[in-house]
Amino acid sequence: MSLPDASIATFNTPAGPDATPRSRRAMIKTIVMWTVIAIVSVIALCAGTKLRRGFFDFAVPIHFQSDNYRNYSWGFYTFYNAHDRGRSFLDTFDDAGIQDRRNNPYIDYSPGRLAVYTMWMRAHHAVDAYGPFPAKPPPRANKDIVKQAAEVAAWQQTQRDFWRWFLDFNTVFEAIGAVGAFLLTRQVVRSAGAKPIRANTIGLIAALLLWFNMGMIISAHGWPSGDMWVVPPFIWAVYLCRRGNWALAGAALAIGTLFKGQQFFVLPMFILWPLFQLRWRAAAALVGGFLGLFGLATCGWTLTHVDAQHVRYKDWLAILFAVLLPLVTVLAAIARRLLLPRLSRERRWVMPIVLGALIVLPAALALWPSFVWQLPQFSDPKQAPWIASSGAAYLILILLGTASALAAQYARRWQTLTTVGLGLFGASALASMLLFSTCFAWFDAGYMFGTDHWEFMVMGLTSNLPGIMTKRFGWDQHGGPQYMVSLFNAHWYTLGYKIEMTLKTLLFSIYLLLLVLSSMGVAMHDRRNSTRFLVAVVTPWVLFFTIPCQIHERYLLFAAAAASICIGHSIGAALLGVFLTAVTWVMTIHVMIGNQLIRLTWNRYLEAAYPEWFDKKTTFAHQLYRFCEGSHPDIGWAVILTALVFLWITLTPVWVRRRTFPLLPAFAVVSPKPAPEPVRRDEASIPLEPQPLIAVEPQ
Amino acid sequence: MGWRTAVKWAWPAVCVIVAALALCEGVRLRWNLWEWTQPIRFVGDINNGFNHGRRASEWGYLNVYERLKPEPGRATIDYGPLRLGVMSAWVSWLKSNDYPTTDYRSDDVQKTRAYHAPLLNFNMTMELLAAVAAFLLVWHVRRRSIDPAQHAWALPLSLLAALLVWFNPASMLEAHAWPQWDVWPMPFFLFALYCGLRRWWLAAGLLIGFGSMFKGQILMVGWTIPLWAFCMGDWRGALRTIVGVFAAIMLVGSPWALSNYDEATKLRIIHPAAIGITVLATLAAILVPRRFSPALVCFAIATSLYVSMSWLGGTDYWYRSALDVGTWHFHTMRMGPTSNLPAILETQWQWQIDDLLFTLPAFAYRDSAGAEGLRIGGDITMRTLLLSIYFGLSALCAVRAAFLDRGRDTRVLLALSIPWLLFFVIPCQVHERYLVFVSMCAATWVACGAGVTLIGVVLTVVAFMHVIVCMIGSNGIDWVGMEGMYDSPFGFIRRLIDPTNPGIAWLLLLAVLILLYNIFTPVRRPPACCGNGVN
Repeated sequence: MSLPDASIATFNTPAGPDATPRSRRAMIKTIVMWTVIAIVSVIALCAGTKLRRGFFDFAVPIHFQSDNYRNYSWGFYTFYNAHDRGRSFLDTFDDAGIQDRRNNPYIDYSPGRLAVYTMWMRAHHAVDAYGPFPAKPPPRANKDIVKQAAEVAAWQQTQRDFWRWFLDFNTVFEAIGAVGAFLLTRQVVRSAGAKPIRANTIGLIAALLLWFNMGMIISAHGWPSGDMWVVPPFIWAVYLCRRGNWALAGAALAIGTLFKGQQFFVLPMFILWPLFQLRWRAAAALVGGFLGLFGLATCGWTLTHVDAQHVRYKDWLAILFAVLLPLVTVLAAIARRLLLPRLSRERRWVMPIVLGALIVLPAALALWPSFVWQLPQFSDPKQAPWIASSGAAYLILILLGTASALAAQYARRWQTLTTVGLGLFGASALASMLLFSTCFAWFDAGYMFGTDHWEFMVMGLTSNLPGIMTKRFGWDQHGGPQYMVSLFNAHWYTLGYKIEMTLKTLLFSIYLLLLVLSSMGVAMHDRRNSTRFLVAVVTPWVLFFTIPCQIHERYLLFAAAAASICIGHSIGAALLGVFLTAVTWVMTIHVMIGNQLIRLTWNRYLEAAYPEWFDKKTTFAHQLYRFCEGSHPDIGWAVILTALVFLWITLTPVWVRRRTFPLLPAFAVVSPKPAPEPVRRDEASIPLEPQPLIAVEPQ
Repeated sequence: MGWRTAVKWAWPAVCVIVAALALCEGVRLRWNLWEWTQPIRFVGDINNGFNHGRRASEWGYLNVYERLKPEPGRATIDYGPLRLGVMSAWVSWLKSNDYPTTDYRSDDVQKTRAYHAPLLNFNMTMELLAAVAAFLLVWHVRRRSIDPAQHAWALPLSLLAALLVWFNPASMLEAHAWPQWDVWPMPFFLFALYCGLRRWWLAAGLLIGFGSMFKGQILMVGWTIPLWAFCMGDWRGALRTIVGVFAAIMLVGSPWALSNYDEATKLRIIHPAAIGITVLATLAAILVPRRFSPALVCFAIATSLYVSMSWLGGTDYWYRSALDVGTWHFHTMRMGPTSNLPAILETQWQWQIDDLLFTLPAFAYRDSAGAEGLRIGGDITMRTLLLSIYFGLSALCAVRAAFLDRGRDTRVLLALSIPWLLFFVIPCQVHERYLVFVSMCAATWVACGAGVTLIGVVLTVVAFMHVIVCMIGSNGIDWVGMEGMYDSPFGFIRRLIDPTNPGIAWLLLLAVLILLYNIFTPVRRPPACCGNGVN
């Protein structure tokens, strides 16, 4: 049975010389739509760039100097190492070593972040070789207006020259995020059944909301910091997942993680989402993509070690291990594919044994000598302080072997094999830190330092649950996270055991629990093609800010910026995103102008640089500070309610009504015979001949 | 009886059983609540009520207002006539049952529930009536909805709404532990909404009017009902509502409008002219028109009583006590530990109620002596600004309610209840107890969906927190040095809730915005032929 050619042509033929008027009209519509989108995008790009420059100039005196100076220092140090001292980018972390948490200056950068600062210094070196960090003299209130304007302009220019590369990098990243928001929102709205023009319009609004997000702008161009580097990879990862490119999504997440460790906190959602949909291959591909890129990017550390004289050596055992395991796995998969068709059905049981041997034997051969050498070091806390025992190493080996065997068994296509190979390489390389005691300082500085350096309830002026607990309920800002909370004191309930945990662990456990629930919501809405999916993927970021301890005020930026995609669900959800943006803006500027002297400086600067906006003796900074001070931390209550609303939208299913199709006689579509005349009412009682359920095309 | 009949009657039968059980349990819970909350009783309010009731009983019910004379700067009584009547009846009952009535709390028997039984039973009756009203409201809006899917769960949802009102922890605590009388206007308001939805506008107005004689706060929200009618194009309905309010107020105040108190003889002097005019006007309104019009009769009665009160020797102290004293009595940003916008403005940014914000061109009425009367514009203080914002937003809600009512949208209940939340959150001089109004109205939001119902639950929790923290605070349980009390359950609750004040107002503000957004979003109906996508 086949459809008549005419019906196929009507739907599938592209517009050409023989195109029907309908398809031509559609083509014109498409062209107009994309032209409008292009025009709006260009205008937004120009306006956004101008806005960023303007805001940078506006906020020059209130840049967060301590962070900025540290960024400059570590970037310069690394650049200087590589440029003048014949050392490499890799050495910075190892020079710092496993840091004492009380050290100052300290380095708590992930590798990507340090790389950006180094490249920034490299670019700056070409303009101003070994130029110092620009000082921040307050422009004096000069009576000579012309001279005063010239002084301020010159100073602004100095600042702009210094920051140009970094700010351009941030702008590019934000633009990439906006493109991602457009694509993601468009894709979700489109798959929810909207027409293309509606989907494109909503996608464009989402992109504009992200591009003009003031929370992101103040962080990237006012502070300026690299906190927003998390958002574009996250959005792209969600988009790639929606498109089924799970391995690439994992790679996108790896990029985000290389820039900022906070990306780790939503990583479980990406793994649980496909698992709740029983798509374990997708989850494996995501993990493979993540580990592949992350392992490749960091193999400079994971496959080398540094001696006491700070000389870097390649660790050949680690390299052998990292290369051998994926290689053998890939070869085993290829061998299986080649051999299996040649084996009779009765002899196929041989294959798992062959595969196992292929994987385990070389790995064991490679590892045995290393274990003999390295085992004594596991008990040395200086070598690897985070290892409890060598049992962890064995566990990792078992996991890697299992992953390898499963991959060899199930990998079919070359893309899968590539992902498997890269993923296993990355995993092996990362495991080498444990197995072969290769360089570990980069991991400690990038991902572990931040979790135990600031053992505070909140960092900065954060308006969230721990912030309220600290400021309003009197929890100790310093000792609060380690306060032991006793759960289930009723002994009959826990069979005599008391369950106690620190407040930090308790709040983080609540976050994790809600993260799992959110992941279920993501999986559900993804399966139903609901636009609630867009809200659901943002929910973990809102929860991440709201619940755990040790959160910086700037971290609401992740939720606020990502929430721009919520416009795809509803205006209400987008308005909640706007509210979060306002809150993050207020909290960020609150920290930036926290110092009395800085506020005075800013007031003087504003009256000199913007005389048309600010009067002499303006107290704008003080008024703004007073406003921000009044909202902290109680506005956290509203943030908590927002988190609850997000969670509610995430967890509530939308019941899909079953579609009812009119029961047309099948031959009305495929039969060349004319359709039978409708039965008149007076004839309806006459029994008709039974109609075939599946029409057979007449011969 | 076939199984179809059994299924048909199963739901109602289950509902009746649940309602009966709930009634019994609710009554028992209320009785126990009195005993459980002995240490945190808010004695001040019931003491006031007792004293006013005792005065009414000694001086005569009608003479209290003239003898106390509430005037600016001298707030001696702020009770409406019906509220005073309840207190008077209570004290009379105490006397007839030989309870001590010389002073409140002079005897241990005065701590018992039996001593307060009439008052608490009256509170319980009002709560029960409010639950019935909530049931009817939800039932009505669900059954008349355009969307057939809304009809299916009408009965269980109505019962749920009634149960939410009946077991509302905030109102129970307020009515049976505080005890206070804030639940009294709620059945009037909810029944007025029901009458409005049935287009019985005069009845709606009468209910609002009578409710205001119990608690004047109902008028702060009740004015949205005639506006709702007007915005639906039913200007006659709007007029009927206004006439109803006017008539109810004047009818309650008629004993004072038709007589005066002679301080020399301590007797009331009845004015025959005033009575004559009132009777004549009433008869004229009944007999002259060709068709009997209740609204016209009400208008005639109310107008003639007003004329009597203003120009024929009647007194208006009752009116001032009921509706005027409360507006200037507590001239502060907030009363008690209220968490609302003025509280934030006061504690975080040190704004005060009379802070001048800006000045507008003013239009003022001056009488022949040059005294200023009604003024529009002029100096805009914080109080004026916040009150204006409140009235503006409430008016928007009423307008939107008209649209939703036209479209038979269930959110009409939401639109008509939000003014209560606005009344708590935005204006100055608001007591912490007034969130109980919102929490009781919020029970009807079950008709609008689970999301807004949950917001209603959150508001109920906040209302409960407000009430209990005030009760505990008034008894000094947070005093350092009171051994044993600080670590008591009440002390723990105080320590838990006190820090939320006034910061939790941010949550309430966001809730207001979410609810306003909810009523202003258009209805999204799935297109006739759409893909498999959902929103």
